[in-house]
Order: sequence, then structure tokens, then C-alpha cells
Amino acid sequence: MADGELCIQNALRMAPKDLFFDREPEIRTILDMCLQLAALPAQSCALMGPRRAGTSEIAKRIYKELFINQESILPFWYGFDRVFQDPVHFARDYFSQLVRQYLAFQGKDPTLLLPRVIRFEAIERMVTDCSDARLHGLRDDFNAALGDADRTALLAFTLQVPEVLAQGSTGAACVILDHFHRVFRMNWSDGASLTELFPQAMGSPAVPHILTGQAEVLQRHYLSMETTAGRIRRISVAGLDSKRALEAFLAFCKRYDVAVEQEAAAHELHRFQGIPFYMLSVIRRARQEGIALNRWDAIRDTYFAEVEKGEIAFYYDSLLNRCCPGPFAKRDAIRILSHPLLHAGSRLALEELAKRLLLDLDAARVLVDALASSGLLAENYGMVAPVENPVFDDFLRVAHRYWIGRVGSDEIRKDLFRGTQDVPVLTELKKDEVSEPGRKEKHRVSFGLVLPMVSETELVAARAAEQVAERVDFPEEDIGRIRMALIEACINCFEHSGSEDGKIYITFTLDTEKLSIVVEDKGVSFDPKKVPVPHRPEGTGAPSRRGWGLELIRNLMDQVVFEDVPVGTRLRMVKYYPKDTGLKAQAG
Amino acid sequence: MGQFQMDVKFDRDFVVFYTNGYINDLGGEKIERTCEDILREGYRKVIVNFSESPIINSIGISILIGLIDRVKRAKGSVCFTNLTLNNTEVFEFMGLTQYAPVFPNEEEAVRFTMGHA
Ligand SMILES: Nc1ncnc2c1ncn2[C@@H]1O[C@H](COP(=O)(O)OP(=O)(O)O)[C@@H](O)[C@H]1O
Ligand SMILES: [Mg+2]
Repeated sequence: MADGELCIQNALRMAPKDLFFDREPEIRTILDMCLQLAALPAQSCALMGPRRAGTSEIAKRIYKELFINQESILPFWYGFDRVFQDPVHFARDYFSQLVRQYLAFQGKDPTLLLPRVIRFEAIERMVTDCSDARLHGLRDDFNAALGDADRTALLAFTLQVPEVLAQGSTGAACVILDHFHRVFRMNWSDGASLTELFPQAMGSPAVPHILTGQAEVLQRHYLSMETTAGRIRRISVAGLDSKRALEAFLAFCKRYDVAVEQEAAAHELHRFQGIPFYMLSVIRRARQEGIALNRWDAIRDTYFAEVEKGEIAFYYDSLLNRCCPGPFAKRDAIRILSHPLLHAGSRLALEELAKRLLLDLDAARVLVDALASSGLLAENYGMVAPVENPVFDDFLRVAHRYWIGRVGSDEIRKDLFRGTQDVPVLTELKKDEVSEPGRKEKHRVSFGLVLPMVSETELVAARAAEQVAERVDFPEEDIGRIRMALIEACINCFEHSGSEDGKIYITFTLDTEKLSIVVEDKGVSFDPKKVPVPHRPEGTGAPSRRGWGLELIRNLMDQVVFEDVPVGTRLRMVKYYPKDTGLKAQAG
Repeated sequence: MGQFQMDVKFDRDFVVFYTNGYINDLGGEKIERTCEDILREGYRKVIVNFSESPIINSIGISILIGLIDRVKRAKGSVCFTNLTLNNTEVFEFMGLTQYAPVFPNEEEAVRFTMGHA
């Protein structure tokens, strides 16, 4: 069976197992729906997800499951990889693929699924060679339809083939149509279009169809028609949730032999929207360039390189190119798409946008339509904006700066990450989580932060300190002092603690009169009294180079104590509020 | 913060370093290396403009002390400008300002440097 699986994998060009991250729940849901076919009428459905969410991969696995693990439903798969200009060519291809799959399934011979491209004549021969009289009849009917001038009848017949095959055998079938959005590009002059004809085939209760394709395009061109509205179930496939996404990221890194740090990965995970394609692009680049992804900024920078000039950029670039007849149109497309991003998200009607961007309205209309049918742009209530997709937004910002701003990449990189710069997540601690001795003040609020000992982690701590200090109107220069003291305390943990868990534990506590910061590591202990005092020159001589950290902390803060702890070091430092200020917002 | 960067301006017989970003061990080393390069080219006078580096840690400062030391041994001069108030306070506390003067802006630093033989 393993060979059979391999055949199916090759025939459908499935992603290898270790790159396909567990979509069991989604696959199960759809399979259950299919497997109940004998008892219940099934409904056709569309797998709707953001770009590259992996809906095709899910569909492929459903086909594989149906092919291998059951016998009562005929599985069919058709990928709209080509856009046919002639209905006859489409009909022959569709017919060939379906009949071939029927033979493969009935004969339990997945090798018949290969090669991917097969000539109609070869299928005819296969049919002639088999003993199934019903298939002979079907072939003859199909040939008769081909000979007839009525293209609409030919197509309608072709789309019913799964149903005919099911009726003659198991009674039920499931047709998976991958990249269904390409159907909307096939418009021929003679005969009805597939968009008009498919709804009927999809209405059969014994032959549900499962569609994948670009969600926005399916929605716009297919699911909202009178013949389909409410009849085709939408199954939304989101990106992986954060737990699965992290697992996937770590697993991919392992697969590609890229060093990674879990905390760094978790810190940057939000960029990928749970979509494996983005993760893989970044990881493959890291592998190519020998980058270790063990720091969050390494991940961020690799992501930036991807959006700027990597696989991700290439992907969106080719989508854009397909919509634009030339470089000028592309430039305009980028200007149209990025306008809301550069203007705080405000959307404009096309007329207004064209006016502001000095575009010819008719040309802009054509462009916007092309972008919309590629699923890159959405027009809601006449307002134009790129589809919601943060990665595409990043791509657009970069593209805009290149094409229109002519700005260098360092500049762009800085811009792109300005808003998102290392804002740490502070968790508010409950009273009993605070290891503060002495009496419990009533008005007190504490925040905890655990940082990995990675380079520049102290800046994250400093950002957190600023956030906390801003709650109590510390003057600017005190915030600067607190920041520096905390940075010094953190780099001491980093440099001197030799801690094995590699973490720095920080607690900020605000009460009615002061900010206390506790910085703790689980490394070696030391006796602060035995630390030599650094030398401060009298004249113009040189000061000591090292050994200033503790001196600075003592000088910058109002109170500094090392508290006794069984392991490691716990430093508590306190800054009193200036007179007349206090906790601005208690407990929050 | 992210990556530390530095621009260098060559002017008459002195150079100005424009640091950009966090000055820690990595940033400090970058400054130190650049300083070695310009000494090798024959320059002896250095102004470091910190306007884009609001955060400097003690390890960064220790490297700066080494740098001053190095330039002084080459009979040159180093001075600093555009330090934040906080960092000026720290430099003073460590006795660094006596070792290398600190100016509020580049013009004054240039005047000092030009006056240096
Ligand atoms: N978290 C810590 N764990 C262990 N030892 C520490 C810690 N913090 C400080 N020390 C000790 O205190 C000494 C003085 O620290 P500091 O004043 O910051 O100077 P420096 O870091 O330049 O050595 C360090 O050399 C180290 O021996
Ligand atoms: Mg130290």
C-alpha cells in the first residue's frame, strides 16, 4: 500500500508528509461528511481560507483517504491547472481524468493515476481493454456528444460523468475540484460557461463536490450566484492556531536543519498567520543563508528578506504581474493597493483614488477589476482596499517603497518594523504571585516578565520598564535612569549568572510611593560586598573599564538590595515617585 | 533597536562617527574596529556623535574607554557630542568626561577638535 500512497502523492503533487502540518480536525470533518453519504444526502462545499492556507493540501488528503481507506464512494479529483480556450479540450481532459481515476479506484491500482498528463486516446484504449460494458457505453455516449455541435450539451454531459459512474457502481461519489477559481477564466463563445453549468452537477445529493480556490474569488464569482447561494457549504479553513503553528515552525526548522529557539519563534510567530507557506519560505531562506533562527530579530530579518526578495515576494509579484499588462500598470497597481496602508487604513472610492493618484479612471477600473478577480483586492461598498492579509500588506509596503519611493532596503526595513518593535507582553500578577515580604499594601499592582537570555533581551526589559513607568508620571530623566539600571541588571544575569534555565525573571511592582523592580536569575550566587569598587580617575586618567554595572545601578536608583535566595541572584531596586505623583490607574 | 550601524564623515583632519542604535558589546566593537581603520589611514582626531544612540550600556562604555585610550596613545583626541541627558550623567559619574570631553553639539566639538594640535 505504501507504493500506492506514493503514486497518489505523486499524481496529486502532494506536499511530503513532514511538510504538511497536521490538519486532522479539518480533514476529519469533511471526511465524516462524505462517509455519511450512504445514509444522508451530502452537500457540496467550498474550502475557504486565506491565500496559501493549505486548502488544496487538505483536499488532496481527503482524496487519498477516500481512495485508500473505503470502497463505497468513488473519489474523483480534478485540478484546474490549465485554462482551456476550447470547451472540447476541457471536456476531453475532464472526461479522461475522471475515467482514469474510476479505473484506478475500481481496480485498486493507483499506478493508473500516473502520469499526470494523459491523452484522450490512451483513455479510450484503456476503456476498450476493460470488460466493463457500462464504461463502453459511457465512452460511446461521450464520443457522440463530441460529434455534436452543441457544446453546452457536451459540457453538461461531461460534468455528469461522476454521477453516471456512481449510479453504475457504488451509488455515491465525491468530486474534488482544486483551484476552482480558474474556471472563471474559461469563457468560450460557443456554449454555456462552466460557471453556469457546474451548479447543477454540484446539486446532486449523491455526488458532493468539494471546491478549493481563492476564497474571495470563489465568493465573488461563484458562491453568490442564484444557482449556488445557500446550496454550497462554506467551510472556512483558518491558518494554524498558535499552538499548532509553533509546533509546525519548530518541526520545519528541524526538517531543514535550521537552529531555532522556541521563545524567539513564539515571539515572531504572529507574522506568519499560521500559514505554513510563509514559515517555510523563511526557514528555507535561513537554511540557504546559514542563518540560525534562535533570536527573534533573526527571524524578523529573515522574514523581511523574504517579503523583500524571497519566495514570498516572488509569489505576490507573480500574482501582480498576472493582473498587469506592463510595468507602468504594475506601478499603478501597487499605488492603488498600498494607498490605504499608507493612509492609516482609510479607504477611498475608485474615482477619488484615481483623482488623488492622477490615474486615468478607465485604466484604473480595468486594473482594479483584474486585481479583484485575482483575489488581491476587495471592493466593499465601492471602497477599494487590498484583501485582508498582513503578509501581503508587508509585501505592498516594501514594493511601494521600491517602486515609488525608491528608498533603500535598510530604510524600508526600519519603517516596516517601527510600529511593532519589541513591545513585551506584561502579565499582571495576582497578589499571591508577588514574592514581596512585609505587609501587603492595598494599592499595589505587579507585572511579571520572563525573558530568555538572548542578546539584546535587556532592551525588551527596558521597553517594559518604560511601559510600567509611564503609568505613574515619572519624569523623563527618571525613566531613563530606571531603564539603564534595568539594562545593567539584565546583562549581569546574562554575563555572570551562568544560569542553566537561561531565563531572567523580572517583576515590576507599583505601589503608592514607589516602583520596585526585582530581577532574578537561577544561576550562581555571589557576594556583592566582595565586588571591588571601580576606579574613578582624579585627574585626566582613565577610569576602570569594567565593574561599573552595580555602581551605576546603585547610583541610578534610590534603593538597591540583593535578597537572599536559595539559588541564583535576586536584585531588588526601588525608585520613589517624585512628589505629587502616584499610581495613575490602580490595578490596570 | 536591532542592528547597530555607523556612518563616518571625513572632514579636514578629523572624522565624525555617527552611531545609530544600541551601543552594547557588538555596537562598541563596531566603533572600535572603525576607529582602528581610521587610525591606520592616518587620522588622529575623532568625534563621536551619539544623537541616534539613546541607549548605551556599561559594556559599550568600557569599549569606548578603550577607544579613548587607544587614540590618546596615538597622540590624538576624542570627544563626544549629542549624548542624552541620562548618558551625560552616567559618563560624568564614571569620570569619563574628564578623560574625553563631552559637547552638547557637533559645532562645539569641531571647534575643540580643530584647536587640538
Ligand atoms: N546576576 C549575577 N550573578 C552572578 N554574579 C553577578 C551577578 N551580577 C553581578 N555579579 C558579580 O558582580 C560583579 C560586578 O558586576 P558589575 O558591577 O555589573 O560589573 P561587570 O559586569 O562589569 O563585571 C560581576 O563581575 C559579577 O562577579
Ligand atoms: Mg555588569
